[in-house]
Amino acid sequence: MKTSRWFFLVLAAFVFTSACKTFKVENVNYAQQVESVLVPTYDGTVTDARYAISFNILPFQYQEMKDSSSVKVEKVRLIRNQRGYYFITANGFSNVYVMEPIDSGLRLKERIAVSETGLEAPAFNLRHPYIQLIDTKTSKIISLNEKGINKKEERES
Amino acid sequence: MKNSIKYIAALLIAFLSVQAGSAQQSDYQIKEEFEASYAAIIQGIEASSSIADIDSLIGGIERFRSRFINHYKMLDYALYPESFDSKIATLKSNARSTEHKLLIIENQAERLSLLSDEVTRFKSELAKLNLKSDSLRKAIAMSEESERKLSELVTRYRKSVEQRDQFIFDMIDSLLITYDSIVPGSINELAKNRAKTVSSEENPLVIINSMLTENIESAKAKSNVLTTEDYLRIYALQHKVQNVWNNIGDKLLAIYGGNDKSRWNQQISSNLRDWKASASLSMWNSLDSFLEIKNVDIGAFDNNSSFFTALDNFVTEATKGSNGAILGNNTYEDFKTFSEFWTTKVLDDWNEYIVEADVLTTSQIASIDSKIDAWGDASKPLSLGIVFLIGFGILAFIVLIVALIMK
Repeated sequence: MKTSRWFFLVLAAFVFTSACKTFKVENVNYAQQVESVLVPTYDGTVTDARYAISFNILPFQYQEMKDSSSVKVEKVRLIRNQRGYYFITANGFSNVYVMEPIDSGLRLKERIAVSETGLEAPAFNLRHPYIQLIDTKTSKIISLNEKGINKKEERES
Repeated sequence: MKNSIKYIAALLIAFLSVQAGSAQQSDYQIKEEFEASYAAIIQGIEASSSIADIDSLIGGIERFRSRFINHYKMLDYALYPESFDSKIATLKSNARSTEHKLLIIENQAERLSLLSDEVTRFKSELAKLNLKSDSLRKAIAMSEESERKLSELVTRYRKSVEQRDQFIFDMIDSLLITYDSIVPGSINELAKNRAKTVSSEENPLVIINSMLTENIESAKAKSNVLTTEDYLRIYALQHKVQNVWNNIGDKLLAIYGGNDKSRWNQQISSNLRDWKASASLSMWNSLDSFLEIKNVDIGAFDNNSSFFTALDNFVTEATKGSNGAILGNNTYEDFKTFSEFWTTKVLDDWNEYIVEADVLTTSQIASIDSKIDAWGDASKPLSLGIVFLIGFGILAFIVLIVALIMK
């Protein structure tokens, strides 16, 4: 009698944890239709109130300039694609950083080199299924996804 | 106006910059351009000071809409919780509301402009009338002419003062009609325009103040040739000017007071008080003297309330006194004297001013009027015919009795 009760409890716990592990919703669209343009605070924190994300830009700045002693970035461009990856860049950056959200953090998924001399006036557009990077000064347009450059187009206006 | 043009120019620059940069724009830039143009149009609407300005902006709103209509989905998202359509609707609604307000203001500004011309005319006309009255008064004071000549001067003086007072009545009516209809919301706008364009010649505050000063000076001059009717008219005029000032004074101060609103208010209010004190004193003294000359002693009075009480008590007491008198006609003579004063003066010659200045209200006049009728009935003596008839009847009765006894 006692054994059968223990057996029942273990079975119930197994069923419950299995159910929790297998419950998922598919086809979630994380896409942000318009990029966020964020101004860092004195300590490098950027906050996007609408999409509820806040992080520090200094680690990105260090990756680009090997300097995180003070904030040198004026505006951070941020957009999220349908799969939930963040695309982050800024004026003067040579790369676009594709970051995936993790527990209390962002992890580098891909560093996409987009300019040898640094972007002059970058901006993101969502052009499903890609993220379009425009350098509005040079009129360079690059289509990106979380894996890298999809195709490269250069148009001079 | 200059601001408005500046904003419209800014708006056009914003449109041009959108079009020029449209080759390589990010969605974020389009949203920014949309918001900048939107803000420029809103500021333009707020700064619009003419129908031409707002009409130009209304056309601009349609061009603005056409410029961004292809991005409306992105803008709906970017502008959340607002939307592209709600932003356009807000612009149109603001523009319509401003257009409506400007239509009212332009209409009122046009009327004020006409009135400014009128005020200039009032000023010169009033100056002429004052001059004429003053010179006549001085001529009377210094006159060594014959009695006939003097009487002629007095008549001309009284006529001149009456003309001047009538002119002020008309002028005050004009001011009241124009300014009473001004919508409170448009006063600031009118004040901005008026401050730049109105000279002191056209400023109604200047003419009101000068009219008050003239009247106070005339009252101080204490001419003894004016009649009770003249004093009643002056008292009624003061009453009217006071009422009109109470009604439209704030608006006039707001539109024409400039940085001296408080000074103007203090000066005009103080002059109105002084004028009221002298007009009131002269009028009550003159009325008292008039009744004294007419041998009507109604007792003491020096204001509206005590005047009505004195009249009411006088008529009530006289009616009571007449009830016992059948043959005597003293009370009836009193009644006739009073009734003549009441009918020819209070109900006829002076009625307009008495009612205008609330010396007696219409209900007070009606109340006393009915009491006077009762007094007339009570004091009317029996006619001689009836007395003879009664005497003859008594005599015939006595003769009849004597004849019966003798028989």
